[in-house]
Amino acid sequence: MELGKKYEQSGDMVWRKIGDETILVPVNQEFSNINSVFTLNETAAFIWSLIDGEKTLAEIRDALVSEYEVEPDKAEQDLVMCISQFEEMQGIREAS
Amino acid sequence: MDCAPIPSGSYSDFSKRLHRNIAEKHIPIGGGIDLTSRCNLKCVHCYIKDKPKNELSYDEVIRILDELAEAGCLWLLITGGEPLSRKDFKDIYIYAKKKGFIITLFTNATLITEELADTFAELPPMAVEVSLYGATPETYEKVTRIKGSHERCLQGIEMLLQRGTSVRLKSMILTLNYHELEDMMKYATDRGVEFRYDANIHGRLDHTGNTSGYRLSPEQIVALDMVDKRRIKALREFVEYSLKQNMDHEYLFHCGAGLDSFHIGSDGKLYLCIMVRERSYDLRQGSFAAGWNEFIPGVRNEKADKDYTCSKCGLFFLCGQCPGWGEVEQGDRMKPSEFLCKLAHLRAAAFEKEELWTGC
Repeated sequence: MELGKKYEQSGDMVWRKIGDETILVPVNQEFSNINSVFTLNETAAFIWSLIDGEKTLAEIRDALVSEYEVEPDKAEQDLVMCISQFEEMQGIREAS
Repeated sequence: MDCAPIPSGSYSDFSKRLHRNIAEKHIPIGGGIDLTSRCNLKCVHCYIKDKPKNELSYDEVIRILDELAEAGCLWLLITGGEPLSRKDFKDIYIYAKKKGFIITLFTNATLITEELADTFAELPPMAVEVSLYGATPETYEKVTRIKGSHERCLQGIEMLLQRGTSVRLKSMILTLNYHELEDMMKYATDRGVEFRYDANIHGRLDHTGNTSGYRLSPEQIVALDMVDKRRIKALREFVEYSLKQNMDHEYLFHCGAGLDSFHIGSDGKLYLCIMVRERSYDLRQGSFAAGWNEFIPGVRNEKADKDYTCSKCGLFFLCGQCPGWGEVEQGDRMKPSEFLCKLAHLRAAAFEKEELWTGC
């Protein structure tokens, strides 16, 4: 995955933080009928909050390194997995 | 560090887990809003009085929705009055969907249009719950007192079903329509739609008008219970649930109202629940957070009088009695509804006779 890419939230999923739970609520699907409810752990929620169509993946990786004090390789690995899953659930798309 | 936007189980598992996780946190996870008190029907038993002058404006509704989302509300009931009678209903609905609420809509379906049905198909609610007041036009319109409303209701239901929208049907069973209960059930079954009914009608929330003349007698209601296996199962589940609750009879309220749920009237008043309306917090004067954190606990934590008879009643676990019913029927939260009291005793006797308590 190219780290120069930028992603934006698609608007098809709404991020909601309720108590300790962070979930993505689909807007164009009936919630109780979807196969799975997507809950985000702390890292995924952090990444989601940085996806704004402006920041590159490299910038998000650097933010992860700074926030969680991890090695850049590990941060990149987690970021790539996360982006791929967000894309799969149609929560984000590549910014034009 | 680990990234896992992982599917975490079914909706049902998620809902249970979320309710468990927020139980002690006083988060308003679910609530309702009357978008209007206006209605295009004039149902004989309606508990809402038409008060169009005080209705929240579009901007006020949007501000309240923003505050509800911020406070952690996920499940939102949109009701009324007839919410579709607001000209800006579609805009409000779309806004609420895009805000990430899981929406249930209560409607009589007579104002559903092709355009609105398309909106629900594109941005689906969790459910549209439609009130059905009879299986024939004659009976339905005896209740609604509007000619042509039965046909429009059925058209509305069909428009929703054709687009795959999740529809649930329900009925208030009255002296005027109980002879058509089976036909209403059949209508729902034929369409593969869930149906439920309620026979416990109560008076107007503002104490004007008396609807009890349309209410079935407790004897009639128990007779309906006993021929309906699903009804018996639901009552058993209610009893089992009630028995599991750790009820502190020092306090008046024993449900989830004010702990994780709330209700907002069409004039922007915040209430503990849809029925308890004597005390309110004006969301036109203050924020939802202030109302929820400072006003609601005071209502919720009201203590029961020492002579509050329901606290000592052995049938408390079976009875639908609550302070809301006392307030509406007796003008006193601590005075039980005589109707519900009689109903609970008759139900207990009928269940005892048929040995339906086994396992509870």
